Amino acid sequence: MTGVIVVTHSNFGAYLIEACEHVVGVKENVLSVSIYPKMSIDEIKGNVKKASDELLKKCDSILYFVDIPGGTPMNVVLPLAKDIEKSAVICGVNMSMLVIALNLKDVMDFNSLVDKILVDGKKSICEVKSILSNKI
Amino acid sequence: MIIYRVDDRLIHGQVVENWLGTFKIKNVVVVSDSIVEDELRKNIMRFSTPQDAELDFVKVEDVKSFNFDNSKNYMVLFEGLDDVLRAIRSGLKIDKLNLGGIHYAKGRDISLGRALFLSENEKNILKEIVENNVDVYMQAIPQENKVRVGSL
Repeated sequence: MTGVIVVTHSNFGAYLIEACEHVVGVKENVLSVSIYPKMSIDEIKGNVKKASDELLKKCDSILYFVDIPGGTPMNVVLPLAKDIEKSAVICGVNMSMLVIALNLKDVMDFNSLVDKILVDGKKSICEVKSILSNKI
Repeated sequence: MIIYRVDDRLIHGQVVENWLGTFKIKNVVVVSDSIVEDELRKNIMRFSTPQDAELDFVKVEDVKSFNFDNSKNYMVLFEGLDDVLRAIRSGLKIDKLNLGGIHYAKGRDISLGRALFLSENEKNILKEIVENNVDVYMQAIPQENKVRVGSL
């Protein structure tokens, strides 16, 4: 089984999970870690570690989602993910990516799941008005 | 298998990302008199539907003669209860009807659930649908429990 942890600036991750649950229902082994300006790096690391340890009791792999490449969430997650063999850190989380992850995390093999999230996630970023107006 | 669903948003996240995958549905039929004539809305829905799924648009009175293939799974989407009743009156046979989304609007003062609101008129329509031996159940997404409407 694959666990999912969404680590973001402020409560973005928690709300993103809530939004996805409207679409795909509540899934197990999905956690968020919110980072606030007043938190120390150690405190943040502790929170991510705690979430990871909790999921690793039941899961053999962890998918980390973080918001912006190079931000604190990514910087905190990377050293932890380094020690988890079956893990990935995916930047630029959006709702399409998380919906795919929640839908398929327990039915797809880990590496294919990561590939699918990256390919379909990128596909979800588009300007639809021009796409659709070409068809009329 | 055919899942008949009332959802005023027709093709949207819950349908595309959940119902179709959960029940391995590759065929979607949107029932609406107005959308059949509306190229923009049809194109938007084609855009939102997975590429490996087939999407058809039919008028309410034409659902009864739609050529369903027994070997395939279908989701048939209605915009509202009035269209369902019209389809039944025109000869469509429905065993079960999923109520997915009838969102709040002025006059819809009867609340059945988070995204299910009815006007007095719609309540009567629903009653008539139930009286046609249709098993009507509320369920926004497959992971939720079905709640049977039974008698109002």
